[in-house]
Amino acid sequence: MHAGHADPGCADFRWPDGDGREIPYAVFTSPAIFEREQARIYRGPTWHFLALDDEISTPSAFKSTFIGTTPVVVTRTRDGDIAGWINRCAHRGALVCRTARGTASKHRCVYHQWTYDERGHLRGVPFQKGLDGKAGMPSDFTPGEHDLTPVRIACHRGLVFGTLADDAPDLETYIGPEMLPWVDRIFHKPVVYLGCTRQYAYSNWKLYFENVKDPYHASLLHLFHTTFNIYRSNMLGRSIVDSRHGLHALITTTPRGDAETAGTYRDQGIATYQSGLALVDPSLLETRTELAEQTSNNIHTLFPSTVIQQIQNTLAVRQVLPKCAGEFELVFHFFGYADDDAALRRQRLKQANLAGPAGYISLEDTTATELVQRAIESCADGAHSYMAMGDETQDQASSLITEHMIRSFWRGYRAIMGWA
Amino acid sequence: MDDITLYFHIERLFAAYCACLDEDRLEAWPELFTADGSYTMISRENHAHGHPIPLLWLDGRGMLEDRIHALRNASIYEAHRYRHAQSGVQVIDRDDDEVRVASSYIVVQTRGEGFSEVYQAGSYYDRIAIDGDTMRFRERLVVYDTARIKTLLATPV
Repeated sequence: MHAGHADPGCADFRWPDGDGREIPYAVFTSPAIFEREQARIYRGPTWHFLALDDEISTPSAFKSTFIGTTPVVVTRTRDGDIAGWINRCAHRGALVCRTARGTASKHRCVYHQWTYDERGHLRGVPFQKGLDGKAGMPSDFTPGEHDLTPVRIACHRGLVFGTLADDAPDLETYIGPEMLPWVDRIFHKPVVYLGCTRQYAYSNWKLYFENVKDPYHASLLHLFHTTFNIYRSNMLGRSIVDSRHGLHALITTTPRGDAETAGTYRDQGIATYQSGLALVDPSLLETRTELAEQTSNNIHTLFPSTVIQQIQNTLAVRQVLPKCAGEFELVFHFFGYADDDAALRRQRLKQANLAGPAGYISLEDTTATELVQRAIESCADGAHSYMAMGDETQDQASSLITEHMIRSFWRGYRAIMGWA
Repeated sequence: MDDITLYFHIERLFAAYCACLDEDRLEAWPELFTADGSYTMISRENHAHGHPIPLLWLDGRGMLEDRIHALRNASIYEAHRYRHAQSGVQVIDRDDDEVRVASSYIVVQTRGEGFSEVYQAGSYYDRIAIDGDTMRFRERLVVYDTARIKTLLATPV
C-alpha cells in the first residue's frame, strides 16, 4: 500500500453499487484485500492448475509450485497416482522441498532432517528415541499425527489441479458444464509437456485476469495480432462466461479471409493496422489444422489461477501466482500432443515466439497491467475504472468488442469476497 | 589462423554484437549471423531437463530481421537500454571453417525511471562460421539463468 493512501481494510470496505463497470482501484493495491483473497479464494473452495500430468510422468517425479501464496508440491507416487502436500515441515515450518522439479522418493527437511515419503507421511525423526537414554520425543509421540498437510488433487485429461479446501466440489463440477467442453476440445488427446517460461509482473493479479477476459484490447494493444491477421475484432468470435457465477470465461476467434476483415481497420484508421508490414519469413505463422474448428485464439480462464491458451499451434496453460497486492508471477506451461509429427512439433517450438514473456502477441500484456498499477498506487479513495463496452441486454456471446466478461468477473468476485 | 588471431576475431565479433544491442543499432544485429544462422534463448531449467521450449527461437536471418522489425514497428514495451558484460571466453573446439565458443554474460538494464539493475545472466554457446577474416554466428544458443523474466523481454540479449 502506498503511503498516504487509506487502506480500506475489509471490515468497512463498501463495494460500489452497479453492474461491475466501476471497480475501485483499492482492490489492486490493498494488502488487507489481498489477505482476504488468500483466505476466501485461494484457501477457499477453488481449484488451481498445478502441473500437466506429463510433467511428473515418471515414478517419484515431483514439482514445486504454489496455490496462491501457499507453497505446494505435487508428486507421482510409486503406485502411479499423484499426491500433493503443503511444502511446510510439520516440525518447525521450513520449506521441505527446495527445488523446482526433480525425482525423489523421500523428501527431507534440511533443518532437522525430518523425512517424509511421496504422500507426505512422516517417516523419520532424527533422535526420536534420544541419545544414550536421554531426551528424545515424548513416549506418546505418534509420527502419523505429524504428516505434511495434504493437498486435494484431481486430474482431468492430462491436467493436474489442486485445492486447499475440503469443501470444494469435485473438479468437473467446479469447471462446470458450460466450460468443460472447451477444456476437452484442447485436451482431446494425450499431451506432452514441452517446457515453461516464467515472468514476474509488478502489478496485481486481477489486472491480468481483466486482461485475459478483454477481447476489446486484443486488436488495439497487440499490433502483431492485427497486422498479420491472427486476431481482428471482426473475426468470428465467442465471448462466453460461466452463467453460474461469471468467474470462468472463454474467448475464441476464428479467422475469415484477410481481405474481408482488413477493410474495417483500414477504414477506421486504427493505429495498430499497418497494411505495409509483412514478415520477411512468414513461416512463423504457418498453422496446421488440428482442431475441428481451427480457432486462431482460444483464451480460456478458469478462476482464479488458470488460463488455457491456444494461439495458432501454440498450446499452453498459464498459471497466475499472486505474490502480494502489487506483484504476481506468470508461468506458461507449453505442451504438444503425444502424436505430433516432427514438423508439427517444430512448428510449436517456432510459434513459442508468439507467447510467453518475449512473445510477439503477449509481451504487451504485462506492460499494460504495470502501466495501470503505476498510476493507481496513489489515488483518492473511491477512484475507480470504467468499463461499459458491450451492453448486457444485447447478445454478447459472439462479440469481441465487449467488456461484459470483465464485469461478470467482478460480480462473481464480489460475491466470493463476501461484499454482498 | 593462430590462437591469438583466432581470439582476436572472436572478441571483435562479440564486441560488435554487444554494441549493436547496447547502442540501439538493432538493424545491424542480424548481419552478424550467417544467412541460415539461428538465435535461440532458452531457460537453464528447460535446457537442463531436455524440455525444448525456447523463450525465443529465430531460425534464419529472416526471422532475426522480423524480430527487429516487430520491435521497431509493432511491439509495445517500456523504453530501455542494455549494457552487456561478457567474460570467460573459452574455445571449445575448432576446425577450418567453424569454431565453437562458450562464454558468460550479464546484462544490466536501465529503464525510463533511471534505475539500472541486473536483468539477465547466463551463458552463450556459439558456433561461429569462419570465412577468411570474417566471423559470423552460425548458431548462438543463449541459456539464461535468470529464470524469472522481469516484466517482459523485448530486445534479445
